[in-house]
Amino acid sequence: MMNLREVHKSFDDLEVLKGVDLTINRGEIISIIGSSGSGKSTLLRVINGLETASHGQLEIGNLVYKLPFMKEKDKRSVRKRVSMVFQNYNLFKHKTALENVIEGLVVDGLKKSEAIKRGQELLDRVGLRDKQDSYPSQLSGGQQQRVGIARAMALKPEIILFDEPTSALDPELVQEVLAVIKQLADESTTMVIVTHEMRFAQEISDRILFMNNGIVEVETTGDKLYKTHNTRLQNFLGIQPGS
Amino acid sequence: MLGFDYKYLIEVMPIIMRALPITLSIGCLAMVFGLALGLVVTFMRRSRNHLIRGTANLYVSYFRGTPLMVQLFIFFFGLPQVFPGLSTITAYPAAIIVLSINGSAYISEVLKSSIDAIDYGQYEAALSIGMSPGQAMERIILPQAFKVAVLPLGNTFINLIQGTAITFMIGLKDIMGMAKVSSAASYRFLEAFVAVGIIYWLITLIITRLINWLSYKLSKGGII
Repeated sequence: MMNLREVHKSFDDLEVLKGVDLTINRGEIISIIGSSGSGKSTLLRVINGLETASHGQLEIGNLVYKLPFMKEKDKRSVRKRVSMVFQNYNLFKHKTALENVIEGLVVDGLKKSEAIKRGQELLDRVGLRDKQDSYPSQLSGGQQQRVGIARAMALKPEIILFDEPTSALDPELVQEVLAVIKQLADESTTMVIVTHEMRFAQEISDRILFMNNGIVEVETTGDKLYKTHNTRLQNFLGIQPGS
Repeated sequence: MLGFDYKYLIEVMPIIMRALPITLSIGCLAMVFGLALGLVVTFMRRSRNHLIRGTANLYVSYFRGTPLMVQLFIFFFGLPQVFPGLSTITAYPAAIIVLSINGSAYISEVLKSSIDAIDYGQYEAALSIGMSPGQAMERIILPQAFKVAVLPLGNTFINLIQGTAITFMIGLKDIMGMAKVSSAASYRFLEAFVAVGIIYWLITLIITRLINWLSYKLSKGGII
C-alpha cells in the first residue's frame, strides 16, 4: 500500500537518514525502535511531508512521488491518506476536544452536523465522549493523546503514524493510551509506531524495525526480537551478548 | 507670579475637547490601518524569499529606529520637494498615513512574537490533518496569536493616540494644537497644557480598561 525507496535526509551537514527502504502493507502494524537520533521520528515526518527528504521516492496506491520535489498539494493529498499522532499531542489549544477531532473534517468540507456525529463516535471509541466540551488544558496528558488519536482517525486514513505516542506521558497514563492503540490494532488499522515500549511493540507488531544511525539495521518480529544476534540491537535492548 | 488659575483650567477643557474627534479619529484609523499593514509585514518577514524578508525587516527596523516626528516631517515637508504630487496631501491624511506606517512596524513586532509564542507543533498537526499552510495559519495559529497579542497591541494603541500629539507641528488642530492655541491667547500655558495632559491621561485609562476587558473575554476560550 505504501513503498519508500532509498530515503535520505540531511539537516545541513548531518545526514539523519542514509537510505531507508520501507514497505507498508494493508492492515500491517510496524513498530520502529532505536535510540534517539537514529532517524526514526524523521522517517515518520518524511512520510507525512513535515520534512522534505533530500533523496528518495514514495509510492502510495498507484501514485509515485519523488520526495525532494513534492509540492504542497502532493503533500496534502498524501496527508489525507496518512495521518499522524504526535509525541506532544499538539492539540489545538483554543478548541474543545470535539472541535479538535472534527477540524480536519470541517476543512475537508463535511457538513458540520455530520462532522459532529462522526466526532462523537470517535470520542466514544477512545472513551472520552463525556469530555467533548473540555479544552486541552482541562485534560490529562493521556486524555489529550487519546483525543489526538481520535483526531488522526477522523479522516479515515489508510495509515496512522504514531510518533512516540507515550513518551511525554506520566507512567501511570501510558496504559490508557496503549489500550486505545491496541484496540485500533485489533480492528486491523494499518499503523507505523515509533516507540520505546518494547513489550507493547512485541505484543502488537507484525514487524519490528530497529533503526540505527539512519538505516534500518534489523528487521524482526516480536517473538524473535530478544533472540537477535545483532550486537547493536542487543546493546539497545540491554541484553548480554551470548547469554 | 500669576499663580495657578483653576477656573481657567476648567474653562479650557471643553474648548480643547472640541478637537477630540481629530485626535481620536487619527489614532483609531492609524491603529486599524496599522494592524492590516502590520499583518502583511509580519507575513513578509516570515517569507522564505530573502528579498521579501529583507525588505520587511528593513522597513520595521527603520520605522522603529527613527522618531515619529522625523518620519512625519520627511513625509509632509521633505518628500513633496521630490514628488510634487505629494504636496496636495493635507495634514490630516498625512498624519494618518505616517502614524499607520509607524504603528505597523511596532504591531508587526508584536504579531511576530505572538505567532512565535504558539507552538509550532500545532501548525504541523494542522497540516497533518489536511490543512493548507494558509488554513493552518488562519484557523489555528492566528486566533491564538491574537489572544497573546491583545495586551501589547493595547500599548501600541496608547502610543499611537499619544503620538498624535505631534501632528499639531504640521498644523493640525488636534487636542494638543487646541491647547497650544488657547495657551498662546491667554498666556495661561501651565493650565492649558495640564488640561490637555489630563485629557490624554483619561483617554489612556479608558483604553486600558477596554483592553483588559477584551483580554479577559478572549482568555475564556481555553487558552492562557
